[in-house]
Parts: sequence; C-alpha cells; structure tokens
Amino acid sequence: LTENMAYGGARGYSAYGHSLASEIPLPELEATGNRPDIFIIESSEPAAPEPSSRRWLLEADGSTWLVVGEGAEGTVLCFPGVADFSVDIGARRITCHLDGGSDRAAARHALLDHVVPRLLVAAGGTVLHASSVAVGGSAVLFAGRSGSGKSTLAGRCAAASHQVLADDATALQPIDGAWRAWPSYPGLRVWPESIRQLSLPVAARPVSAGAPKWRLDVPGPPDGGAAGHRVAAIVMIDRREGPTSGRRLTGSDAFARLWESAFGWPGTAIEHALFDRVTRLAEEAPVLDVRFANTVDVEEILATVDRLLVAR
Amino acid sequence: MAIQRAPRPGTGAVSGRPELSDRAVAIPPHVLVREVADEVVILSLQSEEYFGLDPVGTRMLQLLRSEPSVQRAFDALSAEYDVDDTTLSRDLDLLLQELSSRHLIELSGPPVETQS
Repeated sequence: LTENMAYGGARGYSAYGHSLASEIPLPELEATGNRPDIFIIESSEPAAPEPSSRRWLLEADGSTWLVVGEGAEGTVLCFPGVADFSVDIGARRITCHLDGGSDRAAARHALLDHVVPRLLVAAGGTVLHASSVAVGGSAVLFAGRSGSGKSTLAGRCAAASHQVLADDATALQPIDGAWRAWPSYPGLRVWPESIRQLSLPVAARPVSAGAPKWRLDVPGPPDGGAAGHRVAAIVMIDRREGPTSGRRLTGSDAFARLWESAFGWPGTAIEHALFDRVTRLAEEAPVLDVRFANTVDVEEILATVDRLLVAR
Repeated sequence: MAIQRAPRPGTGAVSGRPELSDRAVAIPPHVLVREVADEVVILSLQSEEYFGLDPVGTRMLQLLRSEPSVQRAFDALSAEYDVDDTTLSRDLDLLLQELSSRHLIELSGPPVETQS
C-alpha cells in the first residue's frame, strides 16, 4: 500500500491474474481496486541498455524488433520507435519511456503483451503465447507459431458462444497440484479479413495507427477471470487441409512445444527456474497436437480435444 | 533395442573410440537436464538450443552420469539390454559424439583410482 501511495496518480487494473497500478492509462484492462503487485510508472528519461549487454531480436524482414540489455535500474527492453521499458524485477516495477511521437496504443501493446508477461516470468511465473477459451468451466489453450491462427480460433469459439479468456497470452500456475490459467486481458487482435468471417457483434478498430491487426472488443470473463480456470488442455494448433486429427504429446515432444510457446527472460538463474516450471508443465498438463482445416467447425476441433483427453 | 529380461554381465569394450573408455561424463554448468515422463530434455543456456532423448538415450545418459567411466556405463547398459557389443558401442559412441559436439557434456580425465 505504501508503494501504491508513492504513485499517487496511478490507476488500478487487473491482468494475468495480477493487479497493476499504472501511471499510464490502460483502457484495454479491467479496472480494479485490489492491492497492486505490479507497478508501472512513466518517465521522461529514456533508458538504454549497456552496449556490451545488448541482444537484438529481429523481425522476419531483418529489422530490429526488440533490443534487450542491462541498464542502470534493471533490465531494459527497447522497442525501437515505440518505447523503452526498464524492469526492476525485485520491486516488480516497469518504468516506461515513450519515444517522441510514438503511438501510445503501440506502446501499450508492447507493455501489456511483451513486457508484463516477461516480468511475470522473471518473477517466477509461467506465461504462454496462447489464446484461451473456457469450455465447460475449464480453460483450453491454443498455442502455435506466429500466424498459426490462435486469435482467430479463439474468435471462432466466441462466435460459437464459448467464453474467450485470452487473445495472445495466458498465465499458468500450479495450485494444489493442478495447473490453472489466468487471461492476459479481454479482447481479440485479428487480421482485418478475419473480422467479417467471425461476424461477432462487437466493436472493431485498428490496434494502433498503422498496425496491421484490428482489435475486437470481445468481453472478458466475469471478474476478469481473477479466480483462474483449471487447465483442461494446451492445444498446439496446426491448420492444414485434410480431416481433423490429433495426438497427445508427451515427454520431450511436449516440452519442446511448450518451451517454444513460453515467454522467456534473459538471465541464467531465471531461465533455469523457467526450465523447471516448463518441464513440470509438460509432465502434468495435457499437451495436444491438433491439425484441422480452416473451414472445419470449432465444435469438431473441441470434440477432437475431448476425445484425446479421454483416450489417455 | 529391447530391454533384456535376465541381465547378463558386460564383457565388451567401448570399441569405437577406446580413448573414451576411462573418461567420466559430466554436465557443464550451462546445460540443464530434466526427465519428463520416460524421456530426458536438455537445454543449453549457451546456445539456447534444446534437445530430447528417447527412453533408450535417456537410460544411456543416466548411466553415463552416474557411473564413474564410459566403460562402466557401457558394462551396465550391456547387462541391462539385449544388444550385441558392437551395436551398443556404436550407439553409445554416437550419443557421446552428438552431446559432446554440442557442448552438452564434458568428458573428464580418467577417474582417480581409490585404494580399497
């Protein structure tokens, strides 16, 4: 509470099962008055990683997407032309500096979909690049490589009256021996061509100025999913022509697919702990590989998931 | 390779690379190894690559880590599996080469002889 009072202008939000106090307005998130455990402050001073510690993550076209390195006040994540974020893991504090003239929606996207999940991982959590929906009160996660259609499949589930939990990232935690899922925040980000296909009766707008994806205001679960949902299955999706098929992944296959989908953080000790959590997840949670054609009904996909879960 | 029902004592040698026989296998600090179900996953924090071993490879690595030398691991595997020495030697060599070339294991010098 004392820490919260230090940020007098902060507003309270919930995301990933956590409460955030943010000096930056975050209209994407549900408001909450809960005691915050993550603090977001805005700074006019840019943060730059030490040159010797810099690592570059590139886009497919070779342009720089993210530069990560150590700065004066923690690890710095720089999204060129958008914003830089200095992350103090111990204090669970993210200091944001928006690049001059950058679009605030793009900066919020970087903060909420890339920086916050990585802070959670650094602080001992597990977050997967996965959309998720509630089916029969449990969470079914859809993971896959970029462009595999995670958000679109979640949107198709919404059109079939299933509750969307998360669009792109889902936080996981073992509670009393069972893995539970917490959504990032409500809404879906989809390609423009998917909007007409989904026919959802919700508002749509570009994610940010010039962004290729559009945001659909699909409502989130009651209470922002604060209690979490039991994980029924983590489904690695693969869209391809042919009949719907699937198999259960175990051992190193399950680990490999989960590790590819997990948010990471630079640093040996953190990677070590994350490796332990992901191997545990591979052993304890049902991981499925399901292949389906673009046109197949979502109920057929969910029935395949059910069949694989029963057939263990 | 099938699991042998009645263990027999190993009598062969690691013939592919005899210089390895007395070496001990260790996992370097930058490599993480965990068992998942009946397989093992290996992560190199240096190269950020990960690898999986099937159940037979997993058993080989278990014994390479727990036995004091490659030869002793070979003997234990020979007793455990119904496999001829030539095949076992080739498979063990292959695994050692794969893991070693990717810096996932370290081969230390001959074990120090202890007086009993």
